[in-house]
Amino acid sequence: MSLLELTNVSKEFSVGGTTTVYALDDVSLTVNAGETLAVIGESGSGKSTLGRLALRLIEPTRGSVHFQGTDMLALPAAGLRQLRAKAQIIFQEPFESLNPRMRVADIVGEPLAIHQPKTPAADRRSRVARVIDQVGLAPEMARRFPGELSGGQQQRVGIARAIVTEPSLIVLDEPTSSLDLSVRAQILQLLADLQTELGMGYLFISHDIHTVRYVSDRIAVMYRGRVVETGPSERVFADPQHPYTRALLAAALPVDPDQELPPARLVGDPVSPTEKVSGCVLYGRCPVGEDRCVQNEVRLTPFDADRAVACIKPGAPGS
Amino acid sequence: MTETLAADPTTVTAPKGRKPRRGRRRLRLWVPSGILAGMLAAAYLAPLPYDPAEPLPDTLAAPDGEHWMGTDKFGIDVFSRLVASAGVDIPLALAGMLISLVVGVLLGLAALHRGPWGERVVRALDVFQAFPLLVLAIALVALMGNNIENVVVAIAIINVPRFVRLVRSEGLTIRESRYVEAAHAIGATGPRVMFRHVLPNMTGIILAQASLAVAHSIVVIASLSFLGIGINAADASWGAMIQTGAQNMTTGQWWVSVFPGLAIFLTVLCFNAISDELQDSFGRARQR
Repeated sequence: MSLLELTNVSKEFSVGGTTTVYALDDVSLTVNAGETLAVIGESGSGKSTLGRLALRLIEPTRGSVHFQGTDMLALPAAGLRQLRAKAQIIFQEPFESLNPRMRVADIVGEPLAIHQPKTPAADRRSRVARVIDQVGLAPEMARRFPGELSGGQQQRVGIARAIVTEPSLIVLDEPTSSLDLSVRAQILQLLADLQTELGMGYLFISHDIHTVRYVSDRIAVMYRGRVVETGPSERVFADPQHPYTRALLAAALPVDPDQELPPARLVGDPVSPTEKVSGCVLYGRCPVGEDRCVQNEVRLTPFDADRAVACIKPGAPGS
Repeated sequence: MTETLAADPTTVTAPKGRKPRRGRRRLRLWVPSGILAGMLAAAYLAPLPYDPAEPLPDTLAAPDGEHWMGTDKFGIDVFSRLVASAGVDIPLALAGMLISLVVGVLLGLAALHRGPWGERVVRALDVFQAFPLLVLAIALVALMGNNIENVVVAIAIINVPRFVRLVRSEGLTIRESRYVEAAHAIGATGPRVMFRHVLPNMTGIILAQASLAVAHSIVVIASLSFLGIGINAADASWGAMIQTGAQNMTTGQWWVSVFPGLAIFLTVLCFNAISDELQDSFGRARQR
C-alpha cells in the first residue's frame, strides 16, 4: 500500500463564471513511505494545485485521493482534520505562512494543541522545544515573532510546525524557491536529514531542476496540468524520453559559464490553460510532433518496468 | 517599470533617518491618551472650584481669576460644569462604542460565512447606513425615551455597521492568506481559525476604528444634548452647555458656549489622533 495515491485526478477552476481553467487533467501519482517524489514543471503547470489536492486543501473535480489506504475525499470534516496530523505541508512563502501575531513556540505548538489536547501542557512544551532544536533553531527563537526572523529561520519554523505531529507525508510546495542560495542548501540538507530520521514520504514540488536532482528518488514531470513523464529520477535525468523533459533538462544552465548552451528545443508559448486540449498538450511546440499527436488522446503509458511517458514516440531521435 | 516605481514616492522605502523614531511614535499615542485620562481623572477625582450644578448669584460673569471660564445665565461656574461633563460624556461614548464593538465584531465574523448570508448582511447595512445616522440616533432616543441607557443604546446601534463592515472586509482578505491556509492544513477547526488566526490579525485596525467611533459618539451625544433629547438636562453635558449659552452668543457672552465647544473639539481630536496612530503602527507592523 502506498502512502499517497492520486488516481485520475482532475481539477477545473471556474473563473468569472464563464471561463474554465483546466489546472489538472487526469493525473495519477503515488508516493511511497520514506521516498521523495519530485513534481517538476513550469509555472502554471498545475503542480501547486496538485500539492493542495493531495491534502484535500482543495477539492478535485474528478478522481480519488487515498492516504494510507483511506479515501480522503470520503472523509467527513472531523475525520479529515484528524488525518492532518499525519499529512502536512510546507509552503513556498515562509513568512506569509506564519501567523504574524503568534510566537514561534505557539506556531509550532498549535498542531499539538489541536491533535493532542489531552497531553499535559508541559509535555507539549518540551516536545515543541525538542522540535525547535531539531530544525536547527536556537531555543531563544521560541519567544520571537515571525517578523523578527530571517527567511531561512522562518522556513525552519514552517518545517518544525509540519513535523511536530510526526507525520508520515509532507507536501513541500517549493520550500526553498524564495530563499537565498546559501540558505537553500541548508534547508534542503535539513529536509533530507529529517526524512532519514523520521522516515517521512515527501511530495516535493519544484520548478528547479538542480534542487529536484538533489532531493528526489522519483520524479514526475508536469506540463499544462498533465504528467508527461515519470520514473526514477536518475534514469529520467540520464535518459529523458518525453520531448518536454528533454527540453526542460536542456534548458537548465550548466555550472560552467563558458559552456555553450544548446539551442532552444521548444517553439512558441504554452497553450492557454483555459483551453481544453485533446491529444498531446505539447503539440504545436514539440520538435517531433506530427498529426497523429492531436488525432488521438496521448496518455501516460508504461515505457518500461518503472517508467511511464505520455508520448507516442518516446525518445524520438529528432528531439 | 523600474522608472515608474522610482517616480512613485509611496513605493520607495523611506530612508532610515526619516522614519519617526519609536519614542516619537509612542508620544503620538500617549499624549492624546494622557489628555483624555487627565480629563476623566479631573472629572471624577479633582476638587472642583464650584458645585457644577449649583447656581450662584453671579450670572453671566466673564472669565477672570474667580471664574476661569465665567458663569452661565443661571450663575453656574462654566469651568466646574465643563470638567464634570467630561465624566458624563466620555464614559457614555465609551460604553456605546464597547457595545457596538462586541456586537459588530461578532456580526462581522458571522458575515464571513460563505454562502448568501454574508452578502445579505452587507446589503442590509447599506440600507441602514444610507439613513443619516444622527437623525437615526435622534429618532431612536425619541422613540425609546431620553435617559442615559437609551442614549448608550442609540450610540451602540449607529456604530455597529462600521465594525461589521470593517471586520468582514478585513476578514475576507485575511481568510485568503497563507497562514490561514496553513491553519487549515494543521487541522484547525473553523472557530479556531477565526479566533486564533483571523481576529488577532485585525485587532489593530479594529482599535483604530473603535477610537474613531468614540470621537463620532462624542459629537452625537453632544448633538442629542444640544437638542435637549439626550441626557437629562440637569446632568452636566457639553452639548447641553452649548445650548444653554447659545442665546448669549449674540449678546457677547461667548464663553458659555465656546469653552464646552473647545472641550468637544479637544476630545474628538484626541480620539482621532489615537486612531491615526494605531492605524499607522498597524500598517507598519503589517509591512514588516
